Amino acid sequence: MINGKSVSLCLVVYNGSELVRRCKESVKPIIDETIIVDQGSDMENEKVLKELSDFHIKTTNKGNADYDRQYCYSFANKDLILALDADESFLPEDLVKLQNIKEDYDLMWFLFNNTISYQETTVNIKDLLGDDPHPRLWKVRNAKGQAIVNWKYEAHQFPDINTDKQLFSNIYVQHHRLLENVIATHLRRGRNIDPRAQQLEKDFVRAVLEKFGSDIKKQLIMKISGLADYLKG
Amino acid sequence: MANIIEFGKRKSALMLRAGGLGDCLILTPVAKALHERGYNVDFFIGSPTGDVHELMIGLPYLRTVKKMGRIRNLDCVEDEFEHKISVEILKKTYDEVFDFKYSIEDNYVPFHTNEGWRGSINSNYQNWVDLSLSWCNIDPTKVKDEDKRPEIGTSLADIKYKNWLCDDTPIQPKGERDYKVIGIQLQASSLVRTWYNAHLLPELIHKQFPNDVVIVFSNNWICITPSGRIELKFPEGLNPLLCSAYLIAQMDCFISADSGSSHIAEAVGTHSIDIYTTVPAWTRVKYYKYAHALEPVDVACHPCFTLDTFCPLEKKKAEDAVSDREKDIITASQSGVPIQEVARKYGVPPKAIQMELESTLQRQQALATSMPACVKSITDKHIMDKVSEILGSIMVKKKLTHVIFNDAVLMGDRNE
Repeated sequence: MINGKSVSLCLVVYNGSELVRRCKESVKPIIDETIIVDQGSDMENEKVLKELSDFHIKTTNKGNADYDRQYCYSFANKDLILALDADESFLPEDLVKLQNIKEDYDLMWFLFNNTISYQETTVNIKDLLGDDPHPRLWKVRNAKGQAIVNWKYEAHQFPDINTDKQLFSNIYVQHHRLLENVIATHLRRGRNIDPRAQQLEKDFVRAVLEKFGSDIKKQLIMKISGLADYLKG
Repeated sequence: MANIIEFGKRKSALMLRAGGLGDCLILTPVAKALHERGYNVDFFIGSPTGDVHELMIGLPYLRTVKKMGRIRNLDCVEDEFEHKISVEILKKTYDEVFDFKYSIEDNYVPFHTNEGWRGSINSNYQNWVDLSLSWCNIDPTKVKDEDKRPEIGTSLADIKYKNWLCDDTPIQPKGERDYKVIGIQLQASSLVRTWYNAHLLPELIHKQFPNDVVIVFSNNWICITPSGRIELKFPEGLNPLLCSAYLIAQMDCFISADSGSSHIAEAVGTHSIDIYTTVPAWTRVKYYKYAHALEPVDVACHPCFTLDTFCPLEKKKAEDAVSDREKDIITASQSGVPIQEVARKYGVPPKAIQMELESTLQRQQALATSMPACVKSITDKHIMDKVSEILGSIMVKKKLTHVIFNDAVLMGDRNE
């Protein structure tokens, strides 16, 4: 509950059940149900995801969570939707900040602390993405009974928002990823998403590898098949 | 409006204004009247002019005054935890919300007639303080005239502004100097409210008042003293708007366009000569004590009430000045005719038509900037007569002892 309002945690995931566990654990004090749309995880992960969720809905792997977001949110039964990705979490102090906001908002934006790790090296990619504000918490419906958020069936697009009662918080969502996972994800879905999104992702991977330096970049090109070709285009 | 103080309990009111400096400043009498009628008043201000809200900090009748910013097309204010909250969330926590958005400037907009006085053109026929009071359901005749003047808060009392003036400028504070200071700021956000010949005034003033100091605003304040000219710099950490307000407060006479700074002059008690062109001065300064308005003389089209950038007549002349072919291209563009069709008609590539259209519009705009009749009718003589009238009535404390004015400096200024 947040200020007397019940909360549905909504996640669109593909494998990564340990990340989901970490994510859920970080917001445990405020959530009342967990809904997971599973984009075709393997059996081992699926089993854990079922344990972690109140509703587990299986779909197919579409290469990006964005395609199933609206579907996932349609199962929410509580007052508020907390929409996180599996690799996102809250620090305890930020959860306290969140609970201290008393205004009657329809939708809240959060800032993001984006970090990526490889072995012992962790880089913050704030210079690439800025504070990267995104909506992550909203009421299911506005005063007119319309859905507050309509996520488009497209990757990397902001949703349509049907309320002007928005709050732009200075609370950070921790978004921590492993470099190999970032690359694997982008390589895997490279062909599945539209050319605009593909180009966005490719530029992002290139910029991230630049931040890790040429030695790590070389190591990864040797280690991950297809990466060299991916970076060429 | 009935007095709503019941059993010592005050109601809450939120005033919202997105607009220029003057638009915001003239709402202080409204806040004061609301406070006197039993409201705790909060005022959220969104202004392209800068941190206007800081001018109002410390006014006893404002509970809070905050800067309003736009995020993703929503007006937001920051709370004490640095969350930015859309005003729409906060509105319902107040007993009354008075939104003055577009209250004066979009007077003519014929849509949204249910929002405030849009479409009513009331601001052409009423004093804007009276109008704003009426908007809050306060009978303007029940508010004393002296309470219909803008006020500023305590920010200027901060010693750092006095220190800046004494340490970094050649001007000493009012009452501590033996010369007068005359300020000139004749730029307004719109050309029809800008007096075009400001560059003539410093020389004329110095001819008549050779030992006094002139400060001219032209992007920055330039101080022209008898011994030379200095560009005044605003130190980091000081609000430039407050520095300007502090300067205006130190002036003995301020020559101003119909713009925000003239309302600052009234608030700080500086005599100002305000040049009004398209709107009658009484709609703005009817209740002011220190304003000396100059208005167009014998101009048939005055007042035209336009708040547009250009004079409507000059605009019309500029539109008529283009060739038939250019008119045809503009009409086609405005009525959505495909550019290819126009290009086929004239036997040129579409790109050529596009370029012709852009250059014609640019030329029209340039032609429309000609000085309108209302601005022309106010001459430097009119202004100088007023300056003499005002300065003649002000006594300086000490006898002048310093330097002779250097003519070459002024000529240099004009040439620049």
